[in-house]
Amino acid sequence: MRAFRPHALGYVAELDAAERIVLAQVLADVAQMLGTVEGDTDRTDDDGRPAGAAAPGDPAGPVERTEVPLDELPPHGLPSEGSAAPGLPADPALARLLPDGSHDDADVSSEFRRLTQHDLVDRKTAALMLLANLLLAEEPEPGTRAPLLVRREDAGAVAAALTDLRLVLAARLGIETDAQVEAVHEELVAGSPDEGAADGPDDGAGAGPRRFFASVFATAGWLQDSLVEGMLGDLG
Amino acid sequence: MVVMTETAYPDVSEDVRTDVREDEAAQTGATADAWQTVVWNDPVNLMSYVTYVFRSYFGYDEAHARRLMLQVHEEGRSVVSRGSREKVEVDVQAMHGFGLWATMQRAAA
Repeated sequence: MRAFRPHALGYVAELDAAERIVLAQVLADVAQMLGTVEGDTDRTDDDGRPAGAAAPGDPAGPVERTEVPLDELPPHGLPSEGSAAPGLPADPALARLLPDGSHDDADVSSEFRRLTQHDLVDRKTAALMLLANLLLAEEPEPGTRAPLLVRREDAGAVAAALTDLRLVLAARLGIETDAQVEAVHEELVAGSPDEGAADGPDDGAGAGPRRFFASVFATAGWLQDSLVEGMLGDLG
Repeated sequence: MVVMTETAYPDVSEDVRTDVREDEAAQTGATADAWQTVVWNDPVNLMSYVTYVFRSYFGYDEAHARRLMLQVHEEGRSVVSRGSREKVEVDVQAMHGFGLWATMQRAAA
């Protein structure tokens, strides 16, 4: 994988087929999760994918799903009974994507959610699927990378999609502090975590999925930072 | 908030520029600015991205955007815009669209 660099039309990175499929699948999983938000059940097809969204893998032909579904890393702790304001999703990952509009005023939060949630879910889903489809538009030969061009007009949506992806993975990994983010990165650099004590409050999902999602989390952050550096450069 | 690449930030204490709108609101206590958009720190969002959001969405210059970003990072929160309830609702929704953790609140009387 190569990070994003400025390009005449926007920003270009280089990813191989496996990297594309992994990222696209987790992006689609997040979009599917958004499709389960209460009151938005009309926006998924029968297979649970966002309406109108191509199933990842389809455009690239028959691709074996070698990665781990997001379901393998279940919600990390649920809010205590009665602590959630009306409408705040019970899943901490969804709650982070669609947070309350007020810190302490349930009426303001409720009104804000009524006014904005539908549009937010639509916008986030569209951005997630935009990036997933960009990733799957090319299927490089094994062992080779192909350019991933993000056009300037799509860059904001792509950066937001990478953020939402990282927010969901962080919630699933139980990341709540800056130090825990650093620990995840160190864990990856250090190599096999299997022999060491479970880092942090593991929830029985096992080291495999945890390490997989930690790796996707770190990769998405690295890609996003290179993209945003380019976008900041264009702001002058 | 996390930083992926080490960048030398200017000494923000020397940044005396302020948002003109904020000053006007403080002086007049205008009821039109009765609400505020608060952005909260989170461990996931990149410093570069938060700065980008403040620059691109609010149109703040680099120094102002960076000052607000550092305030979020160091103090845990920052008021990033003010206005009517309707205006602040739009801003908070936009922040959520970017993936930032934001809330709206009434300005202190």
